[in-house]
Amino acid sequence: MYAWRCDRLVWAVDAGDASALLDYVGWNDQLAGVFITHAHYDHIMGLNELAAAFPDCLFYASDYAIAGIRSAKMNLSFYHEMPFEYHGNQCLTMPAQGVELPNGLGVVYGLPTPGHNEGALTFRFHQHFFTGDSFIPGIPVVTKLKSGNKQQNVETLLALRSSFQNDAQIHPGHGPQMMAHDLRDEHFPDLLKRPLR
Amino acid sequence: MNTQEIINLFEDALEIEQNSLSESTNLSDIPEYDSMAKLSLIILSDDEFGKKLSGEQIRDFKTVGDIVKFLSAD
Repeated sequence: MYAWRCDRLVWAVDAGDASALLDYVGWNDQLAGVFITHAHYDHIMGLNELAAAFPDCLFYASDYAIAGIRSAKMNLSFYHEMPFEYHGNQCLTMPAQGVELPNGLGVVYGLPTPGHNEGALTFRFHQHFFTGDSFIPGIPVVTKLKSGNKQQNVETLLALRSSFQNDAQIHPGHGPQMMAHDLRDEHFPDLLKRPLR
Repeated sequence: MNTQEIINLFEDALEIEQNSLSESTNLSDIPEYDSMAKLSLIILSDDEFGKKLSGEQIRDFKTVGDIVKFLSAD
């Protein structure tokens, strides 16, 4: 989970742990939006708590992810014997043209990155890429779970790799963050037969 | 569903080549049978067979045949 603040508005990517995000949001701040990379339970478990604390906050996700947020079987929490669902009205389909943050901050774009999970999005804000579980440097992407797809994963990784400029910062859903200029072949284990150009 | 069809579903869940496993294959000899694959098996069991599969039951499985027997039992 990642968050940033500007002019008393806080924006976040994913919401697996509401308490960490609530700690980050100051007493006089508002949580304005949460961008959901994909609807696996460990990325969304905090939504009910966040919705209760910030009824005006919007949760941006793909349509598939929104369906997953509303289904314990789709988000896999059911199989971990801790069923989680959010049925409130704060979910919004991520617009194709992105979400423009106020005060000229810039636009958050959602790039479709299926493979790990159908409907997965990588969010780009300036040169920050929030890749969720679609790309974790050095770790093979898990495609065995529901709606995972090996071929789409390869296409996603190729597309991501070519969209990272040297000064891009990669913020994966798990593990350490990285600068794009530090990425090497071994950070894309699923593409090892396709060397960096 | 016959035995081979169940094995094929299990191969799908593990993302391994069709017809590469048999009932006598030891699970410990399948490198792809990791924690994510076990979660995938739990999902397969629930979605396709309507059977809840516990961690303890999974630990008791030694061969592909054990899984087939569990999934095909009435």
